[in-house]
Order: sequence, then C-alpha cells, then structure tokens
Amino acid sequence: MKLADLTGHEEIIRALRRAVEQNRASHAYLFAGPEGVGKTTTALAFGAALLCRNPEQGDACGRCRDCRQVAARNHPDLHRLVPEGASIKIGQVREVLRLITLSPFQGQRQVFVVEQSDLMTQEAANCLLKTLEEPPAGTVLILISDRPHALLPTIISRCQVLTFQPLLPEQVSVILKRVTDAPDEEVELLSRLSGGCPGRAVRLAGTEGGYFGLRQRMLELAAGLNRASLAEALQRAAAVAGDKEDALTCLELFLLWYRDLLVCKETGTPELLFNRDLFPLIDREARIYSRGQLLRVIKEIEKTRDSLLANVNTRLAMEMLFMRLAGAG
Amino acid sequence: MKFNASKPALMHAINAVQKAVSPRSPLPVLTGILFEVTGNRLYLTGSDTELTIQCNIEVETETEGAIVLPIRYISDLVRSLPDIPIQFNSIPGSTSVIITYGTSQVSIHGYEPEQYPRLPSINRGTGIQVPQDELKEMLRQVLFAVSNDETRPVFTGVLMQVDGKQFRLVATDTYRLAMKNYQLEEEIEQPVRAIIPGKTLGEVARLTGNTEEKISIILEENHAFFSTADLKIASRLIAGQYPPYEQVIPREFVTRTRVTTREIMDATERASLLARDGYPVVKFTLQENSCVVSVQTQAGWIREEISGLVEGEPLEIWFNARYMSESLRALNSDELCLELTGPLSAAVLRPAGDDSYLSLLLPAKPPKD
Ligand SMILES: [Zn+2]
Repeated sequence: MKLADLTGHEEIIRALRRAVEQNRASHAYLFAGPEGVGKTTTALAFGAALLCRNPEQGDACGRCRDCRQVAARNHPDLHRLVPEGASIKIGQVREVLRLITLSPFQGQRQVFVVEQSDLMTQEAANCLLKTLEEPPAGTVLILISDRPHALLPTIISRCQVLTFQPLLPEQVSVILKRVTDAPDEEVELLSRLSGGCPGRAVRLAGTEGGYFGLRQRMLELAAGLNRASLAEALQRAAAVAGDKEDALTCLELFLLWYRDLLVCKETGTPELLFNRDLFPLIDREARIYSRGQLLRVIKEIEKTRDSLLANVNTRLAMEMLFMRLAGAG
Repeated sequence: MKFNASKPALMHAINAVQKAVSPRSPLPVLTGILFEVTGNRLYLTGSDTELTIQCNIEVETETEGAIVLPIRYISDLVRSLPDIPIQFNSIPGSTSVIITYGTSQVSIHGYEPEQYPRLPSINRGTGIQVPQDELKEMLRQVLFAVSNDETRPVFTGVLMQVDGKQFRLVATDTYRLAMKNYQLEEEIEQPVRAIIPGKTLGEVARLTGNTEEKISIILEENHAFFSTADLKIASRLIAGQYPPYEQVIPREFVTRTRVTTREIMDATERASLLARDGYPVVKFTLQENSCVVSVQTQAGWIREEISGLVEGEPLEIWFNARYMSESLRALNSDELCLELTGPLSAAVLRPAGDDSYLSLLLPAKPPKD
C-alpha cells in the first residue's frame, strides 16, 4: 500500500511524504487515534516509503524489490512488534534494541512498528526509553496506540505525535468497497456505524454471515436481557466471552444498539439511528427502558470495553457486564 | 530452473546453510532456503538476516533460475530420498518445484526468489586473506571473552581491526579481555575496524575447515563477509564505538611468573571443587620460585604448589575459577606468563615466547569468612 492510495488522514500523509522527500524523518513517531482508524496501515505505508529504493515524491514506488517485500511482509529491515499474549514484554523490546544496534540489512534504514505500544510492561517501556534517547542513525520507530494516555509521558515526549481523527462515513465506505465484497446496503450501514474507523467496519463485514448475521446473533443476546435470570445472563455471556476479539465486537454492537434505543426514545424517528432498517424493533424495545436506565447501560458497556482494552480478564469482565445488564430492568 | 544433483552434494549444502534458517522467522520467505542456479553451480542461501550463509555445489544445469523452498519440507525430504540422481524442476513464474527421483516425483510450494532479502554486493570493502585454520584458532582464542549481556551490545561482538599488515581481534565482557594479532602478507592501505556479533563468528569458526586454504574477509559498511571457494558467510555489524581497550592493558607489573599451563589449569580446576557455592574463587599465592593455588572453605581445604620462576614482589590474589580456566584454555601454549599489577588490579596472561596473544583478567574480591 502506498501513502498516496490511502483514504483520509490527508494532513498526516502530507507531513509523512514531506519527511521522506526531504530525508528528515523523525527517529520516533507516535501514531495515536481510535482503534481501526488506519494507524497501522499508515505506518506500514510510511515504512514502505522509507525503505523504497526509488521513492517518488516522498512515497513508495510500489514496484521495486523493497516495495514488493514490504507488501508480502518479507522486508528484512521492517520489523513489527505485537503483544505476546496480554502485553509487550521486556524480552521483545530487548530484541528490538539488539536489532537497532545492528546495521540495516538491505538498505540504509531500519523501521520498527510497535503495535498496541501502550501494552508494554513498565519494564519494557523503560527499556525502550533508553533507545529513544539515543537512537542510531537510520532508525525509525513508529509506536501505535489507541490508548496513548497509558504510555509513559517520557516516551510520548520523545516522539513526534500524530493524532488520527475518525474518517467520514463516505471515506469508510470507499475503503469497505475496496477491501471487502460486502453488499451495498451493508457497506452503507457499516460506514455509518463504524465510528469513522474503517478497520472496525472491515472486521465487522468479515465476520461469519457478514454484518447482518453478526448483528442478528448479538441482538438475540441482548433481547430481553434486562428480564433474564442470573443463570441465563451468564449463559449468554459465555457465548462471547471465550475470545477477546469476539467480546470487543459484541460490545461494539451492543453500544450501537443501546445508543439506537436511546436516540429512538428521545426522537421517536428512524432518521438518526445506526440500525435504521430495524426501526420497528428498536421502537418497541426502547419503550422497555427508561432514559436513565439506557444511559447506565451504555456507561457499563463502555467501561467494560475500556477494561478489555486494558487487558482485564475477558471472561470475568463479560460475565460482570451481562449480570449488571440483567439487573438493569 | 532445472538441474540434476546428487543427494550427498545437496545434503552437504543444506546442512551448511540451515543453521542460519529459523523455521519460525516472522518473515515468511526466511523460513526457506534460496535455491539459485547460475552456470553449473547451485547456490543455496539461508539467513536470519543477522547471519547469512551461502554454499555452492556443482550441478548439471538445464535451465538457470531461482526459487525459495521452505526448510521444514526440503531438508527432511532430501534427507529421506534414495541416493540416486535428483532432478529439480520449476516452471518459470511459478513458485513450486517438482523433484524427480527415479520414477517418483514430489512437488513442494515455495516463495518467489525476488522476495528473498538481497545482501548488498561486495564493492569497496577492505579485503584480507587468512588461512582457515588460523582464523578458526584466532576466533577460539577470543570468543570466550565475548559478553552475553544484550543490554550492552558492543560487548556482545568482537572488534575486528586491520591496520597496515596487522589483523587484530579483540573481545571483552569488561571482566576479561582477549586480544589476538595476526601478521598479514599484504599491506592494507586504509585501516578499518568493525564490530561483528560473537554469535555469527561462532558460526564462522564452526564452518571454516582445518586447512591452510585461505578464507577471505571483507569488511563493508554494514556487513562482514567471509568467503572460501564454496562458502560465503555474511554477518551484520554492530553499530557503535568499541571502547578504548588499549588503555586498560597494563604495561608495568609488580610480579610476574612463568609456569606450566597444564599444571595451573589442573590445580585451578581441582581447587574450584572446594570453592564456595555461588562464589567460586581460588587463591593464587606467588612467592619465591612457586605459585600456590589454594582454597579453604567450610567444605575443607586444598593446596597445590607449582614450581616456577617468580620475579618481583610476593603477592596474594583471588580469581574466579571458571574465568581463569577459560583464559588458560584459550592460551594455546604449554607455558604461561602470568603478569600481575597488584592484588586488586588486572592480571595479564600471555603464551610464553609469543607476543601475538594476550588475555586480561580482573581479580575477584577475597571471600569473606
Ligand atoms: Zn519502491
């Protein structure tokens, strides 16, 4: 992927291309912004531009050996660091430090992309800090985070911070059409409810049965939950608590759902709903709750999502949520 | 790509390169071996990017070409084939190969050769020639002193330095230091120095033969290359400044002795058996005409007196037994010159009558009772 082919984030992309063109890339960047907004995609495209042997106007040429290696994840000077289990451990950061002290393999630069960098352990973060103080020439570190507040301030202060804003629904829909084969009505719906984060929309479209199938399953879990017994609530939680990604997707859809109930309760019309196509059902469900109850439910879901992102035990967090929701009626 | 090769030749080449291949590399293409046929030679390359090993063998070529084949299949597969001519055939543009042996065939999927990391070609680096057995011994004499502490990368490497006719290796973990010089036949115009990871030099030592045939060493900006007729090893370099090691080598001594290496080594090893758990230090007492190696702990005591010429003041000094044994083993000489600068400062070990090598060892603190 070239920087020029990315949708949205125009200002950031202009700045990155200028840095490549003028050979003035910083030694450390922090790409901050919501999950799924395009930080990693941009980082990899930036990496390609930095490693390309024939860059064109600050962007990768897309044809040379380096570009093709980056595309196939085979470039020896582009390193990706992702959490091992729940965190990025000191051993992983030490390995990065070792690689940084080696000369580049193929060209003049080494690029390191640290995904979910806020999940570094305290030890790992302190270890990385030392490198950020005096990185060898030719090293570009890109830290990625959707929870930058969880990073050490001393780390942030050594990075050039680029903050990614949510895209417009039209931009999300362009991306969805390019990378998925979701049907038009699903694209339209997903681009509205993805919160401007194409990564989320793509993930929802990629689930079994597409978004509509997924939504159906989630609505079955949510329907009548406020009247369910504790045993019933735990049983429903078990369906999505086995896997963190599944749980996060479920929470995402729950949030949209309860927001729709709230909006419907307040406006009584389908115009502002995410799930506009389900207006009659939403209208009916909305009457079961009071406004205060819905606000509390939404808050609970948001809290659960945040604790999952901060790596609280998934099963525990989801069971707690479902039990609280069961008591909400 | 189409060629015929014998099983032993293929196995030889696969064994040589597979040490550099990691089946769990995050780069898919590096989980394989690069096969490249040019002229009547097959070049096999394995790499973890830090260490790259290339071995070439003679084959009967029908068409030139290249492909990357996953190590987890190709290595075991070739090993299990019968010892009859083996043909490799890959259709241009495809990424699989058909291997024919007798009337049987097997096909393996691989990767595009274009995806394989390409070493910068050797162009302007400084090249020297050293007999393989010499290099192997030189490496053995310094590698023991390389540090394993990844937090201080330059110490995990060996300094390789060429100046005029002198080729020098230095390693130190800051507790000990080993330095070996070798006199080159040809003089080098530009002095060069590079820090090479100890790990990859260990492989160089393993792969070089016990032969006087020369190996050529080329130091480039980012890599060191070691090559013989059928083997090429490339190592990435460690960036950074090697510490000024020369100023820590003492020039004046208060005591010096000359003893039989074997006797000191055996005495040290026996004495260490009684040393305290967790603090394996051995006492050396230099007195008139002898060196006494001793240990006294709750377990008991041992005292061995080794006769030898002692010059200078009598001295008591403690050494870590393992460090002392390793230094003695690396000495490669029947007789040892041990030169001391004081009970708490560095000692120098030299092979008697050979000033091309020295190692330096810091003493240990005397054990508290
Ligand atoms: Zn390119």
